Amino acid sequence: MENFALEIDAAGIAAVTFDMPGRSMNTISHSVQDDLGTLAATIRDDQRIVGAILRSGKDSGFCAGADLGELRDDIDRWAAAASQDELRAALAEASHFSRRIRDLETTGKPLVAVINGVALGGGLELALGCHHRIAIDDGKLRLGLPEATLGLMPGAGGTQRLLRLAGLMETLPYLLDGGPIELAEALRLRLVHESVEAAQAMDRARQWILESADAIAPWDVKGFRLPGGGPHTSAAYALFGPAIAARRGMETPGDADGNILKTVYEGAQVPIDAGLRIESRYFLNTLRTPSAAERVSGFLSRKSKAPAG
Amino acid sequence: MTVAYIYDAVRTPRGKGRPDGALHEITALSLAAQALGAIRDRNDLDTGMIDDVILGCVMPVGEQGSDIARIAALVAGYEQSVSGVAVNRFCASGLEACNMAAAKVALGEARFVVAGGVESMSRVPLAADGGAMMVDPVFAFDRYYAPQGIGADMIATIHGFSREDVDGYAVESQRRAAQAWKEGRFARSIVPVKDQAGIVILDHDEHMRPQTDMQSLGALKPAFVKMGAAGYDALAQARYPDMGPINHVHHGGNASGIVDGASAVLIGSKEAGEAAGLKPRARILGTASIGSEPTIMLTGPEFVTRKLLDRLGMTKDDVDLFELNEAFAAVVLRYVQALDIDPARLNVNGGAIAMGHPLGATGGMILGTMVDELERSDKEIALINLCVGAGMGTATVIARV
Repeated sequence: MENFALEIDAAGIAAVTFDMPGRSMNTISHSVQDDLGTLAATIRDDQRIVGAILRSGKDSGFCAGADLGELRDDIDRWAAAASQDELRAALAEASHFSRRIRDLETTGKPLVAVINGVALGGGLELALGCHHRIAIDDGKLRLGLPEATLGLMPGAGGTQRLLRLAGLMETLPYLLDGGPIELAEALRLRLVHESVEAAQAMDRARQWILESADAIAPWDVKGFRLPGGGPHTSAAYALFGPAIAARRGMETPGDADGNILKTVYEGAQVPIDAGLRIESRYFLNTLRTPSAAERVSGFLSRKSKAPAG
Repeated sequence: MTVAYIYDAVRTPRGKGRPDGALHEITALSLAAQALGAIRDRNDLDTGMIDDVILGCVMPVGEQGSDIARIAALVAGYEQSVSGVAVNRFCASGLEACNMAAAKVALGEARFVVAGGVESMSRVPLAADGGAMMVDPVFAFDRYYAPQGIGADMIATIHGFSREDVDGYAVESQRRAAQAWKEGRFARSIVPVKDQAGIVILDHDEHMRPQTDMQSLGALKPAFVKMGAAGYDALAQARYPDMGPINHVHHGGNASGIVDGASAVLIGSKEAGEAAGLKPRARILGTASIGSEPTIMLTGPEFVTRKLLDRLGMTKDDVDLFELNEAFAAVVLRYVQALDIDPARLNVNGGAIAMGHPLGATGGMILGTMVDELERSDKEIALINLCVGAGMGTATVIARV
């Protein structure tokens, strides 16, 4: 693995350090996605490992999300897909990261995320695939799913896991507005389970692994029900319908608003794996639109022109 | 092609669609079966001659689910050979049932069909059937869904109907309905509903408020302000950028009432009538349905009327009586405005604002009302139509025999 270092201690706990070489910040590059597959297989298959802790080796943060430079090229390739085979190949690529997170979530061994600093977009999605999430409360924490601010949508489980944590109505603003999620909010919604000081984080993570009986996400527990119920309830008719309308009626609705709403609506009615597949399809659909290519290009060119610092 | 005739039409009285309404303790199945039984009994009809029963039902779930038409036919004591089908074209379901019956007769599939509808709104509430329209963003977001109350207020806003206009129409609906009841104009159609012991539990339309005046209506707050503020006003304005702010004018007093009821219309061929010894009361000249802009949703009557009259080679002046379901006052006012119809020939006996709109049953009810009224007032041609959810319209033209 190029981007992850793995150390197994005497108790069988694997400390996995996410540390992309030569970069000041971790992103979800193609290489990182490939490594995550290797990592999941290692955790699952290595008999010495009883559980794992995923942390960042960067002071800047856990992970800043998509590698937009790479994604820009992906978008061109996916947008050009025309035949059924090409579309299937594009979907396989676009869902790769999502499927690797699901692999990590279903190794059968507990996985803890220790989150410092920036955990945005794909970074937060990676953390949400971990069974327990510990945030380092040092004032530098930045959580959120800002994809919508770029006219994109989360594509690696963010819509589906947040939905299953927060329920239909509470999920929408985070996905549609893409704003920051304060620590207190994150704790209330169980995006993170606890916050600790930096020095305590690894000990706390080890303790959770040793004391936790199983390693299963709430949505994989038999009988899981969506908090607040699905979209076909009288409560949702009274709230979700108008929320759709309010979004439609905005002066400048986000390019991905429709697809985000569709992903949430459809995902709310099926088990997690089906929800993840639906999300991947709408993610690909969103990225194949001309506006997605323009928005990502625009962002990259602003970034390159911006003064350093 | 065979001509379809209307031999008879019955309806239950309409009970308030609430737990304290007179029909709340009567199942939808019982309402439907009583209407089906009544039309058989008063025509002394051998039900073996009926080839289908078609009932409109807009919330076909719970006790109204699983094809209530077939079940009601059996419960009414129809021969087991009589099939049944429930149909849903939203508010025009009952009229659509009659139009389908006419088509089956015209094609020779059926000798007689009993068509109409049933809705117990007190027992199976609005929205009980769910559906994609309101909450699936593939429709609601991409196609700008707004509820019909918003659509009605949009009509008032775009076509310039003030609160006074819509309230004035409602007062007139109440006045006409009260007069029609007073003069016994509905007597021929009304079949009192009996309870479980066989005792009459309702023999009149319970929803009417004949004392309604501009002052009493003026005290009512517009019903769709909150819904509009929750998002639908913004959506409507995005869909109709030139509309400006929505003038919310509709409320419970100038919109159709929520009620329970059932209707049944006996439709058949000339030959079937002769074999049964029945005299036809009206001939079905033509039927039509249309789709129109779905966000405003309720402007279909104008278009379905134009389509059907054009096809029949008729003009509005050929029509003696117009009946348009009073879903909301602005729907009717827009119809009058768009087609330049003489209000004196439209909804002459009041409508759903006064008497209520038992969704699936209404089309059969107002069709029967027109059969009665053509005879009573010695007129020839009537056009019956309804505005329909998602921007549709359904219409029927009949001629007295």
